[in-house]
Amino acid sequence: MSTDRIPSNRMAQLYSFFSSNPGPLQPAPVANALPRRFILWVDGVGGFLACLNDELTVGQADPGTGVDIPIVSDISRQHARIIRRDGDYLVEPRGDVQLRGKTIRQPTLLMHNDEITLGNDTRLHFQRPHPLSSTARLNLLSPYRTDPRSDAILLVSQSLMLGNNSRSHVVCPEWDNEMVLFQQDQQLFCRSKQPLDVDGSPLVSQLPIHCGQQLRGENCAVSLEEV
Amino acid sequence: MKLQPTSFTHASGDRPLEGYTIKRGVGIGGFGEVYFAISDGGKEVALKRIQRNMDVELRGVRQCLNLKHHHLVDLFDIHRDSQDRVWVVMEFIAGDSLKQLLDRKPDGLAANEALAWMHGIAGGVSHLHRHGIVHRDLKPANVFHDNGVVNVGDYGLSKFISSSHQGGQTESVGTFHYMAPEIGKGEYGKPIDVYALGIIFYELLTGRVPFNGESSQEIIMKHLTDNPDLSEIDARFRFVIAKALEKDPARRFLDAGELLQALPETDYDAIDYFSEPPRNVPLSPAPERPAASPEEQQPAEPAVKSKWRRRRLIPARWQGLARNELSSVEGQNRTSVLLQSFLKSAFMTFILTCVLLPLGGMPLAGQPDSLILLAWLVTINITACWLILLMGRCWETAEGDTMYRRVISFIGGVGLGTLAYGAAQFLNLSPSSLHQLDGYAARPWFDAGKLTLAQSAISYGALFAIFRWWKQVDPLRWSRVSVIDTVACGFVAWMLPIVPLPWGYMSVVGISLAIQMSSPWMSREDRQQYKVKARYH
Repeated sequence: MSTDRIPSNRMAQLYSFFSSNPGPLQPAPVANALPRRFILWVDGVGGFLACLNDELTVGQADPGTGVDIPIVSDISRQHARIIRRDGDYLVEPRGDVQLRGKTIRQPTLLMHNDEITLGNDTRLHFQRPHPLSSTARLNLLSPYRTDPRSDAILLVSQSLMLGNNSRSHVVCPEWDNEMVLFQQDQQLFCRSKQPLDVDGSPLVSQLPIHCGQQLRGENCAVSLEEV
Repeated sequence: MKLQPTSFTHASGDRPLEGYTIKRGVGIGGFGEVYFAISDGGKEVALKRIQRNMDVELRGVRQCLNLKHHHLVDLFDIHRDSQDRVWVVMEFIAGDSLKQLLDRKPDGLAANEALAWMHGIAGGVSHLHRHGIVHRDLKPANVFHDNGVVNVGDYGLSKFISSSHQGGQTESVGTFHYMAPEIGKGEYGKPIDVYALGIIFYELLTGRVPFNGESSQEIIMKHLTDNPDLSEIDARFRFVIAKALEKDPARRFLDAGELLQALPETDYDAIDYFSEPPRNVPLSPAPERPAASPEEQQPAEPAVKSKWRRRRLIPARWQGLARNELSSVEGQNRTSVLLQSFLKSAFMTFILTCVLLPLGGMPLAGQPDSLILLAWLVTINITACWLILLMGRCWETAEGDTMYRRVISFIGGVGLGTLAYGAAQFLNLSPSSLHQLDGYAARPWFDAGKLTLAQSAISYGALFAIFRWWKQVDPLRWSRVSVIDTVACGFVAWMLPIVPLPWGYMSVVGISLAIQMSSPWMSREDRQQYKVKARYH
């Protein structure tokens, strides 16, 4: 797909991700598949733990236990699960979980701006900033951290928007243009209105990007690191 | 640290410095790029590359390297990489800068929040000031919070300036909005930090800086000439902001510690913001930091001191401080102050004697000797004033023993009485003309209107010893002219059988007024300054 085919209207542009989208030039080799979790380092903005799976465990950070969202706080190793189903998110309690101030025992639907409390005081803020994307974001509100450190957890569905728009999943106030990462066939692709370099050579939007690469524009830089 | 992700030299994964892996760029400030990095051991740090690598900057960082304070970003170490570039390893602060917070709150913060921020910022800066370090680049972008703890950053490069080489640096630093007027003259003392704190406080409360403009020239001009509009500021804070924003650095708070003490107290726990970060802002844990020692915490958290203790301690302490400063006044200045008050008091004594005597029932004219009598009285009264002023200037530098001072005063009074007697003889004031003043007749102590040397000496000696005259010329006296003191002096003199009526006690009243009006007095503002200082020291 050439850049001149991208409609200037953003809604339409977004819609194109979910509909018939011209595929990559070559079928992706499975060996090069995207890891299910990676950290997105955004210069001048922060580091974000991106999780691609539809079902994620939340628990105490402890190397080797395979928790998807590891938090360094006094909670169980498998304290809760976050499940994405048909574009909706559910939280399934495994330990003491409160939602909107009430203890829940069943998987419960998460709404935009919900607050989840795990154990005593590990508080997570759930957001679905963009109405056309089912990608969500979890902010840690209490003085705890994920391991490795991240500024937020991104529950990536198909597309991930970075830009100066307040509806972006990662808000980058100083950026001029939006950058969209989207996954297709277990591969990650990037699109932006501004010319980007991938590790020094110009970005070809049909080619997948991999962990360890840096995407660089005139005033932005994003790196992916596998965890 | 401005958010300009434009030109970070290093990408994620780079290891420009042995032992540290860069994860992302954090910001680019005036002094260089800042990165978030993780050491091989797993410690999260911020790495700052000093751009210009000047010796003076390095010296500045080294001076700050081992400073520890609850409200200062910790500096861990300084390293040189293989290309001989200098890196500062420091604590990584995950929270927002004050600038980011203010960007989200265009109308400013609630008074309590603003106050809590100010306590934190001024606490950190006062720690720098106490170590002889001037920040020089205070602005909201250099102030952070991490889980409710305010941290002042970017001070490592603020260059170490002791008072001895103040003004040695001519380079312009800082954002114009926070730049004190004297920076144009190359002055980089602590007052520029105090000024910046005043601007920040104003901005915290209103969401706007007090001096703004289209161009840097316009802003600088406003710093130089405009007075801040304090009408919107909470009355509790007006004094602090007005004093911090004085154009003349000498009229501001001496340093951040003094400003801190002038701030109303705050209760950190009462402020929601500090326990609960704002929505939609990613939050990360607070790195462990060494607990500040009690001495360090004290100025930052005045709330821990008991009010009772403070009230009890302060009066003596501030006066002690003020007297110390008075004693450091050079002899030449002291003499000129004394001469000035001599002139003033002479003038006033003349006027007062001419006004008070008729009030007391003694006509100034009509008798053959009246004018000579008046001249004699005025001369003696002026001499009395001068004697008191001289003693006052000598004794203002310390609280002294009252008995000792009374004895000295008595001797002075006896001398003056002798002088008065001698002058009366010299002017050939006959007993009869003295008698016309009819004061002697009314007092049985005076023998039939005659004034002897002994009577004169004892009268004046007693008048000098009974009152603590030096208190009335003390620069630290409560008010410039105390009518109560004057009336009390007059009344006591009137009661004394050895003081002739009416001119004796009227003279006392006149002298009391004249010396109070002519001797220097510490204004309430100066007084406040010393009180503030006393609390701080």
